[in-house]
Amino acid sequence: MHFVTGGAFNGKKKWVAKFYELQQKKHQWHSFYKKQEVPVFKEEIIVLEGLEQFVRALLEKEGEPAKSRHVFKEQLLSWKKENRTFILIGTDITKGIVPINAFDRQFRDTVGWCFQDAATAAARVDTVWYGIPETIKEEKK
Amino acid sequence: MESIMLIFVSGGVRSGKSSVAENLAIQCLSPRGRLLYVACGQRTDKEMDKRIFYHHQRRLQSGYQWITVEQFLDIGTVPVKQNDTILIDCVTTLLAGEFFREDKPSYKAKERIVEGIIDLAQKAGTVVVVSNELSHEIPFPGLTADYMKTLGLIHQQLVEKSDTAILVEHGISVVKKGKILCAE
Repeated sequence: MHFVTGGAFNGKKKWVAKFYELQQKKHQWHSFYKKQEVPVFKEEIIVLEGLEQFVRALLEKEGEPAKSRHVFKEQLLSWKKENRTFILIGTDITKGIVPINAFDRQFRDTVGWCFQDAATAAARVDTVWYGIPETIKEEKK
Repeated sequence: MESIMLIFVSGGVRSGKSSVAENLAIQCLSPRGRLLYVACGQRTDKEMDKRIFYHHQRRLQSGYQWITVEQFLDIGTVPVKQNDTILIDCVTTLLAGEFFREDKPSYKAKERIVEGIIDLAQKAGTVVVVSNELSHEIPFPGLTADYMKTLGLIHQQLVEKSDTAILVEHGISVVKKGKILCAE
């Protein structure tokens, strides 16, 4: 599992597509911006884009951060058990000004926790800054 | 024609990015060229005047002669000469100006800024361009989102075209691309 994060509009998608040569390789690209549900996996390479929106949907459903995080962790475990390459792309929304709206504050907190879990679960973590990757975690194979 | 140099410097508010950029510009200064400071912020209120004053004082105390040019729009039209070193401060204010001007379409703001900066680099030789990190908020709807997206795309293009790209964190330069000489 590979977790790719960084600020909004920093070229994360573009970098993933290039790094995994997705133009030439068969893959399944799912965007949580377009559809909230986890898709049925069909390909060997799975890209899940908009991880923070997936967390948001969980929070809306579960109602509180701790429960949402629990469900998120279970989800990560189930993905890890699959014999596929998972690439998770999530926008880091945790570094801005504290939101005025209570839900947005909870949303941001939950994203922070869930991204920690995603980074723990992933064998590799990259942050992308305007197209330039920085590998902040890489497990030896 | 000597080789051109483009340096991109970004950071949060009060991260020390302007000082870093000024030092880099001074390091790049050619003995045959001038040091130009291009201020892109419009004087809107007294607080803005104060910021401008402090930035100006720092440049006065740098021991180098800076020529200040105020340019809010059409960055490519700054009158530069070969061998000049240009410091542009900063992309966010430039984009605000280009986004909200009424005589030219806002969807071309990105092209005007990126092409203008590249144009200056080709004419002068060295450009240091400063910008601000704004992309870690929960995305806003509407116009602000458009602005953030455009800014992100401008940053991506400038980083791609740059020789050196630096993220300043708490006064520390994190060199993301290329290399820099250590500033004294």
